[in-house]
Amino acid sequence: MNTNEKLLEVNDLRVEFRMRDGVAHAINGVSFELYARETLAILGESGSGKSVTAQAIMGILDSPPGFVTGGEVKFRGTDLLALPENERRKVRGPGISMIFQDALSSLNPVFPVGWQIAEMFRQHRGMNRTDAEAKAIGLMERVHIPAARERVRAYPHQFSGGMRQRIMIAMAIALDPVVLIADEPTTALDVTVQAQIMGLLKELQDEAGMGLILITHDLGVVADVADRIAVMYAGRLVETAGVVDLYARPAHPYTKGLLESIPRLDLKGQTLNAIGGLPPNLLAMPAGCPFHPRCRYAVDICREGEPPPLEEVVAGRAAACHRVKEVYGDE
Amino acid sequence: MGKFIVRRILQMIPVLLGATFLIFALVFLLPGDPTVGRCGERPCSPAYVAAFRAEYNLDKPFIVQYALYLGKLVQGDLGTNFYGNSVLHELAIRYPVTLKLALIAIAFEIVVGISAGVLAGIRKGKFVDNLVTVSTLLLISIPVFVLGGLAQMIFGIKLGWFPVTATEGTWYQLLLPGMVLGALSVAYAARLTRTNLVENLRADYVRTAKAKGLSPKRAIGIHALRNSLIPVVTYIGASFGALMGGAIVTERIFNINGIGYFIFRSITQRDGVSVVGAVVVLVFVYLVVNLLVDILYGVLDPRISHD
Repeated sequence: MNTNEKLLEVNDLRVEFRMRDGVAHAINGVSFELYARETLAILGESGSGKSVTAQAIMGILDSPPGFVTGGEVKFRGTDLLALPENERRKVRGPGISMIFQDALSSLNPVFPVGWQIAEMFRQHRGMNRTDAEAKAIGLMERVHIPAARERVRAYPHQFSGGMRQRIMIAMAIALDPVVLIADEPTTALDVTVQAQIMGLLKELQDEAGMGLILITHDLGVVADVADRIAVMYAGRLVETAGVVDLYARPAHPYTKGLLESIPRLDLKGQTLNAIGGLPPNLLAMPAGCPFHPRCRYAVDICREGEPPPLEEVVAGRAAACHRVKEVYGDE
Repeated sequence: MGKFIVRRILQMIPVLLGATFLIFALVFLLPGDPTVGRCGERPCSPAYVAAFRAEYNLDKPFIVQYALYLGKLVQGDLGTNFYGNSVLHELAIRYPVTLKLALIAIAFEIVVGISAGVLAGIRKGKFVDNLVTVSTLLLISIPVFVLGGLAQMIFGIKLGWFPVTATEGTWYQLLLPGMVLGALSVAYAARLTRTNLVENLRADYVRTAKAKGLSPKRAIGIHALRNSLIPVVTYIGASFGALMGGAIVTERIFNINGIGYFIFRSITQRDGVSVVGAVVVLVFVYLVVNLLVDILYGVLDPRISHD
């Protein structure tokens, strides 16, 4: 695999949810790229559209009510959105693969874990039962599940949370995917297990050279593993930057607010700067920049017209803010 | 698992005791004299009545009668009815017919009930779904004696597809009564399947199945359906237990010589020994089938543990 190969290119992706009480614009023109061996973190709070973005890329959006209304998802140059479902299905697994937040509900409770991993080989590769089970044992060992051979026929509820997430990961990497999307992979786990799972993902990525999209709301998780960060707010990317740059000097008021809301030991005793207010209702988006009601930099131009576009701040980073100069320069 | 089965079998003892006592008491309290009509046009002579009552222990107090009955029951003897026939034999010649009837009803439930439920579930809110909802509601709200009569008239007489009665109890004759008998359970099985499927289609593991690149057929047919059918199979199993108890109304309508009809006839003839004997067997079969269903539930759902 070429180290600099562009694996995924998302251009102006748009998704809406058509519901009884109106149309929710969940994704409004999201664009980003992912290269081999790279880890891109998509950061945002609940409802910002990060999971929907992932599901739209995978093509597993619940439809109805969710519809992709525009844009491109180019996987190694082929636009997946233009492929017929039958072709697209073959990309899931060997091409792009995904792991989910809650491994207990994401694994089928009535089938043994080994069977669920082996299903990848049986369905995509037409392998027989015995060979596929042997492969499953190998994968369980690769994600460091102790006594894999004895536990291959155990059911999901017989494993701990961390082990279940390892099984999810084993299933996702079964066919050596080119891109792995991890949707809040550690949110349901306790902190020590979180670190182990992130370590495992990193290890697997280094072995196989996958591109990794890490979806999270946890700035702490991101800092250690991501190469680049894309911050999402109300269905738009508001800032993209390398991880070090972003932490050092945020260029969007929202990112700045997020970073200031992390409790810090050296500022013990001071009031935490949480971002006031709530994210906008996707059914009734405010005019102008969707962040303006919560923004301390907001001026008149932010409250009217179209939301500001994502524009380059300095080489390698971009922000969508009318007042980017003030935010970026305001140190 | 072994412990669970032993415990359940032990639990059957008080249930069977209670059931026999209740039935015995009810039959004992039933008004009417079993000797009426046994001596032609005239009332029976006091000597005959006394001899009859002595033979069947009818002259003894209730508790003694019950104790004597239980004593025979534990030896597997259901007694001799007022016509001098062994109750066990009477039941044995009728059980195959009832079993056939129940099997037809269950097959109908499985094939039609589950298919209708699956169709409605995957086409939620569409025409098929509404059709299934309305027709099952109709089946649930029509009493079985009306349904039986209607089926006889339409399919038996007007269209002539099926025989109107099933006196010999052949498979073909029992087809129509079996469907009438299963109609209510078909409706419930269809609704249960639909509800569970709709719920499971939204489950996270179905999303996972799609993310694994499985075909929609496999994501729905294997992953969602396998989970949706757990309560349906349990329901059908339990309804089989109930059907094995014979269908008094259905067997009466179609003139089927099964357990249900036997109970009906025994009640009208004040044949208490037969009624008690038949009901004891029914309660026993019901309990055994329910135990099997509970074991099956543990097999279908690995999260259920019987230890």
